[in-house]
This record gives sequence, structure tokens and C-alpha cells, in this order.
Amino acid sequence: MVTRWWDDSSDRRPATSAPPSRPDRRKFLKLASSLLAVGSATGLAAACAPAATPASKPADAKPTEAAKAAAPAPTAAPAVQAAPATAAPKPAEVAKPAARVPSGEIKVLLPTKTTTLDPHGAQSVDTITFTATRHVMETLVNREADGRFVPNLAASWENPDPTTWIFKLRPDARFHDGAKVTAADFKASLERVIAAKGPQAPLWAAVDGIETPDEGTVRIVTKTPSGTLLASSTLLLIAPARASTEGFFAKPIGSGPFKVVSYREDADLRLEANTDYWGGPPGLQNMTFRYVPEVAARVTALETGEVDFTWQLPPDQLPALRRNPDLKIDEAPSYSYYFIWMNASRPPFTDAKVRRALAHALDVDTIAKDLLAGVGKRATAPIPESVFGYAPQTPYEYSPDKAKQLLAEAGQPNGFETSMIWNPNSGPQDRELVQAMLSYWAAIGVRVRSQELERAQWLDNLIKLDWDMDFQTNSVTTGDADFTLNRLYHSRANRNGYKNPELDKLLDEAGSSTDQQRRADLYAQANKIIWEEAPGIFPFELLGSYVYRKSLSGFVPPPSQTPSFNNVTVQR
Amino acid sequence: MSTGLRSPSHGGAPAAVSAQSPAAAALPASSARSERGRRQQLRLVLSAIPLGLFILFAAVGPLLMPYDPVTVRTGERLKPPGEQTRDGARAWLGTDQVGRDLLAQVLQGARISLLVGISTVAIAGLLGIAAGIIAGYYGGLLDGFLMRLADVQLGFPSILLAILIAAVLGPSVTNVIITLSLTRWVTYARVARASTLVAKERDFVTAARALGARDGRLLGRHILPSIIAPWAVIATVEVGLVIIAEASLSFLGLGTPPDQPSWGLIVANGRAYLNTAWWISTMPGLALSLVVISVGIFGDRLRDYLDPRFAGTV
Amino acid sequence: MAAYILRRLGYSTFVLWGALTIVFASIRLAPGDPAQLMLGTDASAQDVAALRQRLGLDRPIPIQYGRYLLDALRLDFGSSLRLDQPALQAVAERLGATAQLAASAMLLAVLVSFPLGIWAALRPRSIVDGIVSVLSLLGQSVPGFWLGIMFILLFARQLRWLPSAGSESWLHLVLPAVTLALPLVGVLTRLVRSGLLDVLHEDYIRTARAKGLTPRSVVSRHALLNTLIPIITLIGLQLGHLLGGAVIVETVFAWPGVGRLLVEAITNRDYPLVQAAILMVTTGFILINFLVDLSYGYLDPRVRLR
Repeated sequence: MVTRWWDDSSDRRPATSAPPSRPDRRKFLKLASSLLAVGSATGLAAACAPAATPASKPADAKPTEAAKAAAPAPTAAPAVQAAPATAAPKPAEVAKPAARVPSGEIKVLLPTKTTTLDPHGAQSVDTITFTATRHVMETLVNREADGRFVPNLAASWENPDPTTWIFKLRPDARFHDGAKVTAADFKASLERVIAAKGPQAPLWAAVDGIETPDEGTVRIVTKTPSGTLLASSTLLLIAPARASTEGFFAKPIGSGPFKVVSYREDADLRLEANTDYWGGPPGLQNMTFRYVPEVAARVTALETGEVDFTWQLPPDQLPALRRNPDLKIDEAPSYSYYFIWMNASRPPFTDAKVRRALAHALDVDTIAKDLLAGVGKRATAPIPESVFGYAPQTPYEYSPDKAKQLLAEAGQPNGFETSMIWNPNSGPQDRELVQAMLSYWAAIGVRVRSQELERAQWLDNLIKLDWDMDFQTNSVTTGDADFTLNRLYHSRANRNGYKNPELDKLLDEAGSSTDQQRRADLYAQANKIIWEEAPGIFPFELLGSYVYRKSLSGFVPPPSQTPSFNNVTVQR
Repeated sequence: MSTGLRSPSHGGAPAAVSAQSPAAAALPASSARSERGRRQQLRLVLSAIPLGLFILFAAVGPLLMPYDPVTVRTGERLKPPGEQTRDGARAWLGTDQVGRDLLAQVLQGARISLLVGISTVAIAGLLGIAAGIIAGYYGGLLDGFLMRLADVQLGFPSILLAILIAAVLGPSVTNVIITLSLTRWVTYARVARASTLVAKERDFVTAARALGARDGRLLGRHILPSIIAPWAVIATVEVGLVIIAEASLSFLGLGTPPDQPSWGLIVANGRAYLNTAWWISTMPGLALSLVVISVGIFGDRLRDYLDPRFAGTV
Repeated sequence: MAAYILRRLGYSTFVLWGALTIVFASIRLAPGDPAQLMLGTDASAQDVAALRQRLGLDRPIPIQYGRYLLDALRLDFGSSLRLDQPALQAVAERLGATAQLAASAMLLAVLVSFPLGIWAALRPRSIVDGIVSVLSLLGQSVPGFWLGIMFILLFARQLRWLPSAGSESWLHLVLPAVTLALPLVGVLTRLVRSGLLDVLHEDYIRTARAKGLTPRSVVSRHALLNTLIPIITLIGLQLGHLLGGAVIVETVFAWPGVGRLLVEAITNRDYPLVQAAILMVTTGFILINFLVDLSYGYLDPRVRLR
């Protein structure tokens, strides 16, 4: 018998054993400072009790939550722009938590690597880059887990006519060097994003002009009405106007609750608390972001206490971590999902019956149960539930007979041979999922060859439409259906060979309407067309599974999978 | 040229390209049939047994236990070795991350890994020996060019070269063999060149040339035989190193395709399960190590047998 | 000597040129477009074309090649496409970490393999010899990534003696260095053993033995010195290769070395970074081997550098 010392069932050491990398002195200091923090936080709870924060979580006093409490009706309505006048409270009303003393340190393992701290260029919709930089720089507007927009650097906004947006900036927000955050800084950041022509630039394609009537006011004029402007502005991080100077992003500054101490692309990103933050100091004194590629090393670091927080672990690692008394797992819906495209410009996928047959061939529930436990579930639309514009559809039932019948009707009674491109590390269990799906398709006579490609080549083939089938994950990064449906299914995008003028019309209208209820209706119709015409199969939507030490509190899992640690505190 | 870059190793880390083997100086075995000679022979044959067994497994195994690369049973995944599956069969080595029997996979892996190892050594050997003989025999500009090319390649970590070539060629078993062959011909070329230079100056070759023997005849009759022995010794050692190198490529996602899994690929794809389902990665890993060790021991014995200078010392 | 150095320079230039050319050609032959990779799936064809033009990728290949060689002469490789810094600087920053890892691994390998090799050589065909030879094979027979992960699970997860991955402290160096050293121990031990056995048969050693010297002093005074040339050659070659070739160990242990940087640069088609890294790695290799050559003269007066 082979010794099974790596089996985690036996002999787990008490979690108190200190990780070797942390000197004891630091630990002592941490203990001392966190004691201090608990003391002051209790005081703070008393101070801001009227702001309706739950008393049990004193450290949670989140500026935005306080703002919500203070601003009754307008922001709470599901359709934000339905009551556009002044959607947010005046800055003065925002209750600031009284001086909280930041304490302690956490180390966060990123699921993939950051290659830059520049949130405006090639990585401008990359969730990991956003996760790291959102602590340093800030957006005008944030989006809550329930889909509402809440003020951040913009204290309020209005939409006086369909093509004009006016944002009033907070007067008290300052960059880490003490300079005020002005309209000119916003303008420069937006111009940088547009000029970089990175993946965020298309979101701002409708912008015609950016005006700065005074240093606290931004006026954005769009060519056509834009219903997605607020959603897009939840991705635009604002840096000082001088950010375009060379080398700025090696150690950027912003107006956020944390300052960059040091950064190297393949080592740690270290941050420290910005005690002058306009929303009051953050809960943590220090924060480190790190990337470790190997799963075994990541899980080990979490178990030994070398790191405190990670997410996007493979599902097979979760049961053992769940049993660990020191760790906690938060599961939450996300904007990410898996899809399979079938190239509708190539036979036999030109026939919707063939495409539907492939959908009926998959036992989605069984696959999800066996392979994605805790990280994914059956999807019910071409976009995940938590996205604005989602509308549930009738699931494709698992029926090999129906699938074969559809194939026969399409003139393919004996099935056919085809291939599917995919790029490893695109999502949890991708390799296992590909093998499982291939097996199901083989059962109806469709022999799919797996083409596992390097990212560079996969992207090349994908863009050139040089593929039969494609399997990948995708994230509706802005949380708005426009980001995905308009980008991927409009004929002009021609991303998967599927073209439908009726769908184009719906998507165009939905993108340019500022009436959110109307938009929701239009996307519901678009959902239905895409689901039933099946240019793609949408088997699973992904859950965010955040694993962290129980000594952390105040974490709220976001659907965007870009966790924020602004209100996290650590107790020892 | 300087004395530089003459290395007597037989490689090492997967990344290593060795320059020249100690067997470079090896001469064909003397035909003396002494007691010692017979013992050498016996030791050689004995050491070939484990290797032969593995080759047998690779040849026959997949026929007895066919590996189905398509059908998976996700309900049967991650079963530990020896456990029964729902259809009553026993998974002697356990099941993998999608519920396939690991034993069938390891047997298929033996085929692919040995195929990659042996073909690479054969192709790299042919390329290298051809280059080495041409360089050594004709000398001059051609010699300079080929040997400088070898130097360039030596200055370049072979794993990086493999990554570059693999990226150009794309994934397939044939391409893996081509990639690895292109990174490992240098050793053979240097040995073949050295042997050719020595052989060329031997009295009988000089005599044959004086008598008007053709180049082809000289190469075939006199020079080639002197290269066979050192080639055989390096080749056995290299088989193991190539199998390991293929595993490294698999780790980087540039190995054999999933429907033709090498041991390296199974080990690499199972590595995220080492703390939850250790057998997926460990079973093929064990087989891989055993083969590399068997090949290594066989190589040692072969060298002893072929090289009288070392006779009796190992 | 001057003539030797001149020849050596010429030869080094040739090797560097060759390496730079191979990299230039192969990275461009590999499918995939750096501009497309930078801009992602949503960029319009015009934007991609514009970026290609800005990066100079739209020019004819011979012109790109000529430019590239001229720039390489000035050590100017341009900015990395993915990282916000000049390519050469990005490589230089990681060279330290790689050198540290490579040197530690090599030191460890030498410290272990010399005693083992000598021990085995003094008792040829004994049990000790057999064990040493199987052990040395074992070191070479395990895929490095498997071994590295096992070390993490054993020493970091189970025993909690060492940290798992990262590069914060010197403790983080232990596991990667050991993982990298193991196959080296295998090769070196075998080499020390066979080298010694070779020499021990030679006449002068027999003379020394006949003079009544103990085996120990024969080995340390006479035999070992004469086996050093091939061993140092091998150490040089291996050390050179570790500069760029320790990819796997660097990945498993998240060690910020050149190898990992290079592989990521290759997968991202970051042309400037790949080219700069190859130049640095090859230069390092040439320098190390130059030092090795120089050492021959000291080790064995018979060797003349020409």
C-alpha cells in the first residue's frame, strides 16, 4: 500500500502553528494593533449607529451603504434612470465612519496574474487587474450586488436629456499626493481609455464629447442615447491627469483607500492604508496580492496560513477546505458563464436543428453535479441570472433520442465529425468538461475532436472564424446584457457566424435606450432568440467561491468576481 | 576552436543537452570470449528484462484493455485504486478525474511514451550521426557550419527551444517527436564527428582510401561501425531523458494531445489532484520512473559490455 | 592569449547571432498575433492593424530583422508588449532571482554528489556502488514538476517545515533549490564516479599507490584534480542552462525567474521580451563557459587555450 500522507483526512496540525515566513515580532504587533482596532471600532459603532449599519458588524460601516440609508427613494428604484434628476445624495449627507484605525495585514492569492497596474489599456476589462487596482483608484459609480448603481467618486449624476450625462464629483476626494480629484482627471482617464483602443474602448464608442464646465462637474455628450453609460463607468478607474507620463503605472496613485507600496509583475503587490481616504480609513493596515500558478501550492498556502484569501479554486479542492475549521467559503452568483459556440456559417451548423440537437445531447444537470459542485450550476439563459437583462428560458431537456431525431430531420441521421477549439485555464474543470461533453455528443453520433490550443492560436482562430465549435468562459463584466449580447451576437460583430436582422434591431434599440424597463423587455426578447436559435449552447453559469480565513470579516462577495477589501478587517 | 564545450556527460535535468558522452571514446567490444565477457553478457541480458516487460505491456496492454479516449463516466470519477465501479469491474489503479479507468490509460500511456522516447532517439540519432559524419569526414566549411549550429543550440536551453518549436508546430504525437528530435541531435553529432575523425586517420582507412575506395564504401564499411557502439550507449540513456522531457512539455501544455495521452500528460493533468486523488498522477509517474531507471541501468550495462576499458568496473 | 580572446569573441558573437536569429524566426512562425493578443477579442480589425503598424510588425520581415539586429547591438529591445517596462529591464530584474536559484541548486548538487561519487568509486561493484548508482538514476527519473508538488505537499502542507511557494525569504529558496538539484546530483555523481575510476587505472596513480600513499590521499591529491575538467565543463553547461531552463521549478514554486518570464513571454507572443530574454540567457551561458575554459589552464597546465 502506498502511504497516503497527502491524504488530508488524518493528522491535521492545529492551525495555530505559525507559517514559517512570518516573523513572530510582526505577529505580535499585529495582535496588538488588532486589539486596538477592535476597541476603536466598538467606539465607532456607537458613533455611527444612526446610520443604520447592523450593530453586530461595526467595522462594516461602508460609505456607500451609509449613503444608501441616507438617500431614500431614488437609488433604490430598480430602474435607476427612471428618476434621473439627482439620483444620489449630496456629498455632505454621506455619513463617514469616524476615524477607524486600520490594523493588521492580509495576503490575497490572485487566481491569475496581474501583468500591469494600468487599468486603461490592454487589461481594461480584466477582472484581476481591476481587483488589484480598484483599491488604489476609484470609479465614479459602483454597482451593488443587487444591480443598483451607487455613488462613489461621483456624488450624484443626472441625465437631463437622452444624450447628456452630468456627474458631480465629490469635493472631498483627494489623490494620494494630496491633489484634489477634478473633472480634468476624469476626462484624462476616459480619453486614455479611448485612445488605448483596449477592450474597454468600445464601451465608450458612443461618447461624442467630454466637457468640464468646472472642476467638480463632468458633462458627457453621446452621439446616440446610451443606456449603458452608468454600467460602463463602473469599470473606469480614475487616475490623475498626469498618468499618461511614462512610468506612472509602475507605482500608480489614485484616490482609493489603499496606496501602492511596491509592485513587481511576478512578485507581490503590496498596499498600505490611506488614512486620509475621503470615506474614512480602510479596515486593514497592509494588504498583499500574490499569484501562485500551481493549485497544490495555492491550497497549501491557504491551509498553512501563509495567505488569507483566494478564489476560483478547482471544485475538487473545496470539500477539504470546507472541513477546515479555520476557513470559510462564501458562494455567490457571478457574471461569468461557460458557453459553446457552433459556427453558424459552416455546415452542418448552418441548420439550427443541428445546433439544438447538440444542446439536447448534454445531460447538463449531471455534469454540473459531478464536475462543478460548488462552482457552477445549470444556466437558464445566454447570460447569467445576476446580469441586467437576464430573462429565464425553457431548458433544453436531456434527450439523446430527441437529439438524434433532430439530426435526422436535418439530414444527418448518422451524425458527423467536427472539432472544437478551446484554450486551457479558461475556467474551472475546463479539460474535464470538454471530455464529458465529447462523450455525450459521441453518444448521438457526433464525433467532436478536441482541439486544445495555446491562447495565442486559439484567439487567432476564434477571431478569424476559423473553427467549427468553440468552448470558453465569458464574463459580462459590466453586469449589463449589452456588454455580452451586443458585442457577441450582433451581425456586425460576426463572432460566431450567426446573423439575424431581427436580433440586431432589438440589440440596437436596447443599447441606445435610456429607459431601463424598455431595455429589460428588449433583452428578454433577445435572450429568447439566442436561446432558441442556439448559435451557442449555454450549459453552466459560474459561482464565485471565495475561500478565506475566519479571522477576516466584512467581506461581501461581488458578482463581478472583483472582490473589494475596503471594508474587510482582520482579528487575531 | 577552444577546448570549451566538450562535456562528457549524458545530460541530466530535462533541460540539459549534453555535449559528448564518455562513450565517445568507446570502441567495439573485443570478441574475446572470456569468463568475464560471458558474465557481462548475462548482466546485460538481465538488465534488459524490465525494459522488455515494459515494451511488452506497451504492445499488448492496450489490446487486452483498450483505452477509450471518448467515453467518460463522471459518476465514477476519483475512485481510489482497487475500488469497484458500478458495472462491477474493478479499477485496479483507480479512476481518473472524469471516471475513466486509470490502468487502461497507463497502458496506453506506455505505448505513447515509449513511442515518443524511441522514435525521438532514432530520429535525433540519424540526424545527428549524419551531421557528425559529414562534418567529420568532409571537414572544412561544412564542418564549421554544422558545428557552429550545434554550438548555437547548446547555448540555448533545450526546453526553450522545444517550447518555441512546439508553438510553431502545434500539438500532435508526431510533432512532439519532431520537436524533441530537433532539440537533441547535437549530442550524437558531436560523438559521430569525433569518432569519424579518429576512424578517418586509422591506418586501414588511409590504406583503403589510397587504394581508391569510394567515400560511400569507406563510410559504410569502416566509419559507420565505429559509431554504432557509442550511439547505442547514448541512445539508451537518452530514451529516459526524452520521456522526461516530454513530461515537461506536457506540464507546459505542449505535449501529446489528450486522445493520445503519454505518461507525462496523465501525470501533468492529474497534478492538481495530488492532494485529493493522488493515484491519478502517481501511478503513471511511477511507471515513468521505473522505465527511466530500467533504461538507465540497461545503458550502464551496455556500456560495460561494449567498452572494454570499463569492463568489470560497474 | 590575445589571439585566444579574439577568437573567443568572434565565436561568441556568432553564437549570439545564431540564437537571436532562431528566436526571431521561430516566434514569428508561431501562429498568433501580438497585436490581437494585446487588444483582445473586441478590437476592430483597423485597431489591430494600427497597433501592428505602431509596433512595426507590418514592415517586411527582412527589414524587421535588420532593425532588430541593429537595435540588439545597442541593447535596445523596446518595451515589453504586456509589461509596463523596457524588455531588457524586465529580464534584468529577474536575472538575480534566477542566478540565486541556479547557484544554490548547483552548490547543493556539488556538495552531495562529490562525496557520493568518490565513495562509490572507491568501492566499485560493491553494494554501496549499486545503491549510489540507482539513487543517481532516481534523481533523473522523476518529472521535476511532480517532485516539486510532492515536496510542497510534504514539507509545507503536512510537516509545515517550509513555506509553499513565493520568494519572500531565504526559506522559500529551499524547496525549489532541492528540486532543481536532484537531477544534477544524478548526473554529477555518475560523472565523478566514472571519472575517478578512469583515472585510478592510470599509471601515475598506480605509482602513487606503490609509493605507499593511502587511497584517501591518492584520491584527494592526485585523482580528483584530474577528473575536474570534465566535471567543471558539465557544471558550466548545466549552470548556463539553468539561467533560462529552470522554467518548471520556477512555475511550481512561483519563483520570479527568467525562465518563467520567458515562457510567459512566448505564450503571449511578447516579441521584445522573448528576444531580450534570449539575449541575456545566451550571454550568461557564453560567459559561464568562458570562465570554465579559463579554469582549465589552472587545473591542468597541459591545457593550452588557443
